Amino acid sequence: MGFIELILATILLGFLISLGLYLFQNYEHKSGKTSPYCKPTILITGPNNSGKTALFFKLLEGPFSADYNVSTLSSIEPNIKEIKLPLSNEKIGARYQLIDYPGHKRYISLFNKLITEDVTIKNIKGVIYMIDSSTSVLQDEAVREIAQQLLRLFPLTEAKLGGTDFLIAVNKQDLFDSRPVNRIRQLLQAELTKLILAELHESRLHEQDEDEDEGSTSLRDFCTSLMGTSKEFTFDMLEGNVDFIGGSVLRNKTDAWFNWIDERVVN
Amino acid sequence: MSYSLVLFESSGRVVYKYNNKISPFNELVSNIVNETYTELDSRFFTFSGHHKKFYCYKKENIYGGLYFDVVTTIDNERIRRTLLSVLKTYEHLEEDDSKEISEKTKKMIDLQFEQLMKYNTDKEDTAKAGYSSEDAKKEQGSDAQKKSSVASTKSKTPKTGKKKMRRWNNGEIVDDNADASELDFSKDEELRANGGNRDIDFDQNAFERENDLVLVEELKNALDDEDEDSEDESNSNGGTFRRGFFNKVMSYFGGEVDLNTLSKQFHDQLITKNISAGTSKTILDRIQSQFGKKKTVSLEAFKSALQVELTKILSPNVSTDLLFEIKSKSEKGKPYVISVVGVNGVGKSTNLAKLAFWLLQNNLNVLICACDTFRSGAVEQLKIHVNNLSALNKSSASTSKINIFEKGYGGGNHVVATARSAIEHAENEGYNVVLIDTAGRTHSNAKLMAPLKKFGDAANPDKIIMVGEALVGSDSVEQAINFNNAFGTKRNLDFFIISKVDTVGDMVGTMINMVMATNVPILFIGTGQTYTDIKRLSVKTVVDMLLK
Ligand SMILES: Nc1nc2c(ncn2[C@@H]2O[C@H](COP(=O)(O)OP(=O)(O)O)[C@@H](O)[C@H]2O)c(=O)[nH]1
Ligand SMILES: Nc1nc2c(ncn2[C@@H]2O[C@H](COP(=O)(O)OP(=O)(O)O)[C@@H](O)[C@H]2O)c(=O)[nH]1
Ligand SMILES: [Mg+2]
Ligand SMILES: [Mg+2]
Repeated sequence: MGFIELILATILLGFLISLGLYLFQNYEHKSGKTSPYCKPTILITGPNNSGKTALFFKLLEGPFSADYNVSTLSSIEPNIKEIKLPLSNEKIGARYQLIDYPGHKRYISLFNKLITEDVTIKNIKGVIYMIDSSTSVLQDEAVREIAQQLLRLFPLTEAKLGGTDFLIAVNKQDLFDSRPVNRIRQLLQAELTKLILAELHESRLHEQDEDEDEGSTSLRDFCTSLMGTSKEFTFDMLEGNVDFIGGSVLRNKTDAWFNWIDERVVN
Repeated sequence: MSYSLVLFESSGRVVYKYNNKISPFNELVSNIVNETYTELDSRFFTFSGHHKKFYCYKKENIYGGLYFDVVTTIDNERIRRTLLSVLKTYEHLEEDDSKEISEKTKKMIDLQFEQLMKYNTDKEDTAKAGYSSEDAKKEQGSDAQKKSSVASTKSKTPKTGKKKMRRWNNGEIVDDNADASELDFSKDEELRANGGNRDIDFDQNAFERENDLVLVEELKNALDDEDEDSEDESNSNGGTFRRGFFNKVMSYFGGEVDLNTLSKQFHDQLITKNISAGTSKTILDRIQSQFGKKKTVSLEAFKSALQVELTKILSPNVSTDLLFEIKSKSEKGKPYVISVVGVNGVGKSTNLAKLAFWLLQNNLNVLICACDTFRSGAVEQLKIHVNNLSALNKSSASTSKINIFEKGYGGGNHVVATARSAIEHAENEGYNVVLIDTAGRTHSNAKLMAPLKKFGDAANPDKIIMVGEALVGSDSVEQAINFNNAFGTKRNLDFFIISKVDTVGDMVGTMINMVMATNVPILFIGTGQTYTDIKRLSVKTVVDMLLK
């Protein structure tokens, strides 16, 4: 009898201590100053030179003016500005943060930090992933890099209930050699399938801190649960919606994208 | 000949372009992002691309970029002056966040750029006509003059306005009578070089000429009242909206501390983490310049700026998917060749073996080539590794094979011959990867380093990896630089493996030293003495350790 009570008491004590620790840590965490970027966000990202910054300025400065245009070079830094949404109804004017994040490889770690620690995933109402659809740009290697970037993003953006919605903005549809939207979807699904299978079957070197950091799921775990028993990846497997929509910033074919943005806001 | 000038924000927005040739400047941007340029001073830098030469001046958050696709005879200082003056013109005239550059500003910048280009062509002409030595002397003279009076003087882009000589001084136009001797010299030589023909052009279009003169006059007034040291960042006008994201360090934290004190404090901390004094100073100078003229900042703001900087330094700017590259090459029936180099005892052979184990697990056939034909016992040491790996591999489900290729010991050409025949053997026998171990060598001994170039040329490895140990202190900078330069001007190291990271705790500063010195990324780290003790670098973990 005394023995069992002792065990129960120990368990209870242990439980209380860990509860205390948990609360304490959480309290510490919460009281830590929150980042100024921690607010509802529409995120534009994708490879360099796909038209992100052109879209960013268009959204801010002239979403509905037909002659609005801005010259750009690759961005050296991300652009973050406040925007009132939905675009179609100025009166509502909800405040959102619009982020245009450049595609330089060197910024991958900083990007991850920004969206997970500063903005936080729960605040990301939609991701506009921009692609240059011209055949001359969208070669094997570019497709591969896009798929790699998406596969780095999905484990982060899917880590909330319902996932995060993606708009794959297939830009530069005005160019004579631009690839059709559906074809690009197929290409990306095929490439993502390859990458995911490689992730599942190849022996990967672990990252330095992976054994200790058990909180975050590894890419492999993500792939395993995503694929289940199927052999082929499709965008439908993700919890968030992934919409492929063609357009052109230069030719002002952006209405469908703007509608997409407005839908994220209304919902 | 093709050349162009742009002014652009770090946002990517081009605020001024001389002509429509702006896409070449994307190359400039990628060099800025990857920091692969040559610094001429802290805000002015250059690099040569494919048949192109770029110059860039950074003022606040605005960059002035210039490129030529031909050899230019204009000296750096003249270019620097023009870029700075153009940036000042822009900043002064475009104070608000307006979308479009005004016609007036555009014209004034056009004029200054044309002046510079005119100087270029005229100078070439005069050189051809036999004035070259005279010209060169003049250049030297003006160079010496402005160097003697550091930040304040500097400019001398002569202009002819109202037929009266004016001299540009750090963006200001100084009246001729300000310096009589300078004027004399300008009149006979520079007038011919720069302004002479202009008058003729103007006469052809009197209206335009009048206009230009008005513009220049206005510019004079505009830049005259600008603060001399506004060159040192953050004159208040426009400072806020032009500050970029990375620089706009969060100011809401409060609790401001003296900037220099903070800088010293972090300098000491970085040094305890094994970052060399020089490297630490470079990093902290960058941080300090981000705060512009501010004398005090909060600890958090400083720390977060440092965190961003360290993260950027350590993040690779190349693809890091080795397996994919190996497989792509295998599909073409060629073995992928990786070679390791480094000083003695850093862990070249050990980490080579670790790589081999990982590749075997991925069903790749590995041939290890013993090119350390210098130190006795080196070949035997590799044989032991290969035997171990072979046994491990058989006990697993893997169907891959591993073997050693060796031709005993010897100097001189023996190394090159061994490497070559190993690659040939690998191709014939269906090996996917050749891992070449090389002899350790002292990086400061030129006689030992020289053969590396020959080896690199002959074996032409897909990847040359330098192994550096985390234990080494400030010598790591020299090591990295010397090995990176050992393969000639056309070849660099591809990446580092930093070994023995398990032995240094959080004193991981060597990584920063080596990457900063060479711009070569770290892909893997060695964390112990078993075959699985090789990991991918986690930038975040390392940065956290450095700032702890
Ligand atoms: N042809 C065409 N070019 C575009 C379009 N949208 C943007 N661009 C051009 O693509 C280049 C890159 O745009 P930018 O917004 O800087 O790309 P970012 O690197 O993704 O931010 C610029 O020269 C734009 O003018 C488009 O719809 N059609
Ligand atoms: N603790 C630790 N020891 C290492 C590591 N890498 C190599 N070593 C040890 O360093 C010593 C020298 O290694 P070796 O591969 O022979 O160096 P080499 O002369 O560059 O080929 C050996 O005793 C290795 O076991 C590592 O990552 N961690
Ligand atoms: Mg951009
Ligand atoms: Mg060795």
